[in-house]
Amino acid sequence: MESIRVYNLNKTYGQNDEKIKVQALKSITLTLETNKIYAIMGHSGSGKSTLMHILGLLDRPSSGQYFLNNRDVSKLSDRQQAHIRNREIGFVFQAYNLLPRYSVYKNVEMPMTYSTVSGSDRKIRINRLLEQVGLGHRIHHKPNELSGGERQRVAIARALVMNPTVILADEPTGNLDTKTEKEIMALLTELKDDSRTIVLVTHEVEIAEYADAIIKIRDGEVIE
Amino acid sequence: MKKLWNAIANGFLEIRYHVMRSILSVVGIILGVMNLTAMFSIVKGTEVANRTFIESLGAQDMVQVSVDWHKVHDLGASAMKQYRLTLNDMNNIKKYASTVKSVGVEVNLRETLQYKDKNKEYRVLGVSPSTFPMNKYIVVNGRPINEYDMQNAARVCVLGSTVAKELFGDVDPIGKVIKVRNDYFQVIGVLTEYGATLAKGPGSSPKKSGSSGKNNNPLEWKNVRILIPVTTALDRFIGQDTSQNWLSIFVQSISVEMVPSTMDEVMNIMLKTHNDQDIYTVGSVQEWMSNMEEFTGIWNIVLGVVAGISLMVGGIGIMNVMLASFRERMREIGIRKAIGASNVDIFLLFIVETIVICIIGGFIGLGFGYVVSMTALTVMLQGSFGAKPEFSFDAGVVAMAFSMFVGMLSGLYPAIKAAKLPPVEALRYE
Repeated sequence: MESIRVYNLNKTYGQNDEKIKVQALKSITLTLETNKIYAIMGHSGSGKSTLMHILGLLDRPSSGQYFLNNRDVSKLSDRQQAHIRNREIGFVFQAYNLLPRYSVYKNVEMPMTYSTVSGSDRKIRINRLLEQVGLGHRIHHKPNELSGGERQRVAIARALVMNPTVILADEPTGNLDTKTEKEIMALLTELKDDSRTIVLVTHEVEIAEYADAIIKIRDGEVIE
Repeated sequence: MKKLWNAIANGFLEIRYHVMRSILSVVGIILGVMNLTAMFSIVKGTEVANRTFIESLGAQDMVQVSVDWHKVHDLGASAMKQYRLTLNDMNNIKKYASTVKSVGVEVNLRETLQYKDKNKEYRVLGVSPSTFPMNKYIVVNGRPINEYDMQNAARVCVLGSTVAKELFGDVDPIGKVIKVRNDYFQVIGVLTEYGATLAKGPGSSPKKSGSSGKNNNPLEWKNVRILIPVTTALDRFIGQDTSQNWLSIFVQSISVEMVPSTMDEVMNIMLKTHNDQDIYTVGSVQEWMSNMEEFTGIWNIVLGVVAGISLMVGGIGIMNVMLASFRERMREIGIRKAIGASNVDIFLLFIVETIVICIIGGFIGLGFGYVVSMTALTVMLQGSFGAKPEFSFDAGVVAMAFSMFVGMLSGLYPAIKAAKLPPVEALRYE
């Protein structure tokens, strides 16, 4: 089932000045399906991060269309986009991006505080997810009391807490050792199901091996 | 509603996490609110002190008749003599006015008093018997001046308590004869010691009851004068001398409410009995009090502006801190936006934190303001007729509202900046 479709997507920085104008993405057209893991690959500066930001509604394309679950989301207001990020997209970042002052539980709960999920439902769901990622015993710890792998597990639990249809993972194992990398990738691979698309952004071939399909980008263009 | 509650909880968390930064940022607000409440309370306290002072003169229902010397001066030297107030004026008012309870006169002199080898200059007042109850001259030893003394221009006098002490010491002055200028007067009475209860009251320490204690007694002026019949004063000391201060006449209205009608009536009588010459003025303590209130109002505005400026400065301080906090938390803003926080959520996060800080600062300032104003008022009102220091809660409420307003205003810019930050930029920030 199709979940993401982008058509003729362009992103240009410094549009008003010819000298500093940089075209980060050029006429990207892609269709991504559920129950699949995709790897967007490319060297740094290839535009893969820009593409992920646009897919994650963190940035807007300069032109082109973006359909998420058959809905054109590229022209929505900031508020509507925030709502979609909350409901349909889960992020996993290289630097974990947990809030340092909040406990594991609070970090996972965070997306729910921007939604209407009720208190009792929250607790059940958060506890189940933390069990699932193997952190049931770390609920009240602060992120700085956890190892890198554990932090990334918290981030994955946070990404899943609103049950999104798309998981965007930007170099999810970039800061981890090989053993932990394998554990995290195993966890991410498990998340594949009929209603979900997983997108990995990476430059490592080993990571891309977990993917069902690889999208190679160079100089802002899809080459494979 | 839930969002707001969330933002408030987050605000408290932030403040707890940055205790020192939060305290530093609210110092301006604390000082501003403290200023505002303390100043308003002190101005109000001063007003209370002044009012109790005037009330202690028994003067709420008093009307005073005086000559407008500027107008008389324009009419030439002979007019000075022609238009000065006389005992006739007093009698006319007594005779014709219907809203008048009693009429009194006073004439003010400075004379040297002598008893045996002691002599000293004092203020000598020529008064009518009616002056005693009207101006609350209370005789505790002997008797006051009566109608007989007045009619016969008797050479008798009533001494203030300090005068009696200074001239006679422990000797009972009643019946003794003292010399005033070149005439001999018999002492018939001694006034009560004004302010004595306060000077010896439990509130004042022994240290203050020394030489400075005397200066602190706001009623001491009543203790250092001597009273003689007004007729005697006119006959013996003033005569035809027009350069001297002349009589002042005061009228007691039948009630405080009737004071305006009494003023009209007295003014009419003065005009009728002086060929419609508009040369006299009639004033009342009520008028002075309303002038005083106006003055207090001006002070409130001035102090309010000063305190307002300090609150504004405090607001700028908070704005700075919030801008620093915004820069420090850019990544957090990015994370929150990535997981679904809208611009409004981020705006609330910042503005609520600022307002919470301001409210906490406001309460601390209110507490300090309370302490400062109560201390200041206790010192100011020491020996002021038992007036209690009064904390201006109105000012407290106004100051709190204002500090919230300042908080909102100064939090606005950082909050809008945070809300408008694009998520990619926020996340990229290290």
